[in-house]
Amino acid sequence: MAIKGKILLIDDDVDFVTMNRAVLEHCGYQVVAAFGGQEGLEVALRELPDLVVMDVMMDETTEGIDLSKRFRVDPSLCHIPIILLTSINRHFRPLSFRPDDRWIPVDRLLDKPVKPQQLLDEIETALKSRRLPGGEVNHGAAGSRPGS
Amino acid sequence: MERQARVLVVDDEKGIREGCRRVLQAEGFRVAVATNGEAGLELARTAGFDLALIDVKMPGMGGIELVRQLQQMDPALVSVMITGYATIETAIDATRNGAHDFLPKPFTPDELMAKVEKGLERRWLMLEAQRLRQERERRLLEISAEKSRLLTIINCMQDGVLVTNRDGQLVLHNPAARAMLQLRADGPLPQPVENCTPLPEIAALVASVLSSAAPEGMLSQEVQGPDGQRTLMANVAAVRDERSEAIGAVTVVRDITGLKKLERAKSQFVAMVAHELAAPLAAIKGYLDILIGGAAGDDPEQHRQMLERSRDRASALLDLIDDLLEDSQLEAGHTSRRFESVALQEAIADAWDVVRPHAEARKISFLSALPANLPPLLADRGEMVRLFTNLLSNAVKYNREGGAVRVEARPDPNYLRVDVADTGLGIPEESLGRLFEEFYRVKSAETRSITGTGLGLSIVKRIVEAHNGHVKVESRVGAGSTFSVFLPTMDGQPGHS
Repeated sequence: MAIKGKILLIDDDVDFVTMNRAVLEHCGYQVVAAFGGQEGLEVALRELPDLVVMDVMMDETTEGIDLSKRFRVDPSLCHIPIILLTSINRHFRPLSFRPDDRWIPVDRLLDKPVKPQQLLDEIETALKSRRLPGGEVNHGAAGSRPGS
Repeated sequence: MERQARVLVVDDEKGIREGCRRVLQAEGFRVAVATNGEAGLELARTAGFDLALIDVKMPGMGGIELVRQLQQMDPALVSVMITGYATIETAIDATRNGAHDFLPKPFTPDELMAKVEKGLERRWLMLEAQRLRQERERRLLEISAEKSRLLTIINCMQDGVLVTNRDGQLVLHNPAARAMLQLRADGPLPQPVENCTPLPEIAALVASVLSSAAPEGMLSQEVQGPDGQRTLMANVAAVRDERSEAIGAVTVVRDITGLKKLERAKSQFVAMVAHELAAPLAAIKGYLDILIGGAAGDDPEQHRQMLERSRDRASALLDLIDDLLEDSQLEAGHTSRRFESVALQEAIADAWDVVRPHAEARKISFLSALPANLPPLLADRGEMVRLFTNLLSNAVKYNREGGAVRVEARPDPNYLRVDVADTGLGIPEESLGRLFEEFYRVKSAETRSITGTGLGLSIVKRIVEAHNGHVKVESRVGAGSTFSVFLPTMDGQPGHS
């Protein structure tokens, strides 16, 4: 099967990396993984993935959100679509998700666990509407705000 | 007449003296007589009189001098001068010196009675006035005491108090209010409340309860303190007169910063717990979705691993619920402890029984080097087993395959020191400080697949502290960690040699 694209999984929960890796590899994606924000940034810069799936709450409560912002200001990473996953309950999000600006700069924000087929669909959609490297950054394309 | 009036007659002329006595006694008065001023004064000293009939001209102390001295004793005593020289000068002179009336000689019994009755009327009026005056003075004293008591109470209050008049001008404030609201109230009062505090909300609240449209009742509002650090709760109510019109407003300000902080900490904890509970369930559900839908292919070995991980996460979730309940009970202090003599050897043996299967599966050896003559602990038996189970379980979980766990104990001044050492991963320096925090877990490539609740060491710390002991940790990455707990012994003494 031809390789569809390179996906970076960032999650401190080893089981989510294991299960998503299994699903994505089964569907022909190449998967690289990192288990924390800093490691995720390093792997991303080294591997330049086509898309990132990351968890919100790792060592720090908003680590995934902070990492998304760092992606968006890095010229070599700013075009990479990001799917943010979280198991932080909706009710508590206003407490933990206190972005400095009014949006979280990601393509999708999904609740854990995401059904395998949904994750695959979301990835496919995000890859299609992908920004071009060096092109204009358009957060609004499939932009999602917390709770939406 | 309220009571039998007492009359003093002072005259050197026996006829007048006795005549007056007879007439007055017949009318029901109590009468005393004296033949001269000195004797009259003496009588007045021993018994009080309502009215005195005094001859102006007497040998020795004259009538006018006697009046003066009687007035000093009782300013409300009514004096009527008896005079043979009924000139206008004598009358004026006598009244100028404190007499109230005069009775010219000779006089008839009716004339005498008319003067006495008129004089007594005056006496009763004066007594009543005196009573009212005294009453008023007493009331004023009471009010002033009440006011001073109220001021003391207000000044001692930890809540800030501001009182304004109907125009919203500050008339009273206490030290707490001055501190909380940074009142600039050194000028003379009253002055507009908005000139006194940098918080416009206070003046607005006062104005709105004073407005004629305001319904009765209290307004409450949270206000950010002037320093921006503190949160204040202001309660404002109008003071109303008998027609329900606002005649002023009372503002009570409470510092609720601590409460707010507590509220925030509680919300954060609840959010954290919700996340910790949801994560393993989400993992289990994720695996099941994949297995049921066949989204990862059909490799039976991979399926078995996913099922095993699901089972491990489910067990970890149960452990987490146990730990959460234990932790919250310990925190709330609801646990009832029975402090008794506990042999350390037994507590360690019971704890190891729980951990042994995991240790054997990973070929980890156990060495308990406890001398036989250790002093017994003064502790709750169940909590000691829990404490050492948590420590031994960590020593096994974070050990290397085929490693060792070693328990040693030795007397330390006032305590028994117990060391639980492993030959495992060790703890990075930067994690040591947070190790005993709830839900904190050391994250690394090696710990990634080790399940844990993040509460084990927080429970250890709570138990040790509930026993007035303490716990410390030493660790070297790659070599292992040693947790040392210091627990009180039965006799509070360092162990027997």
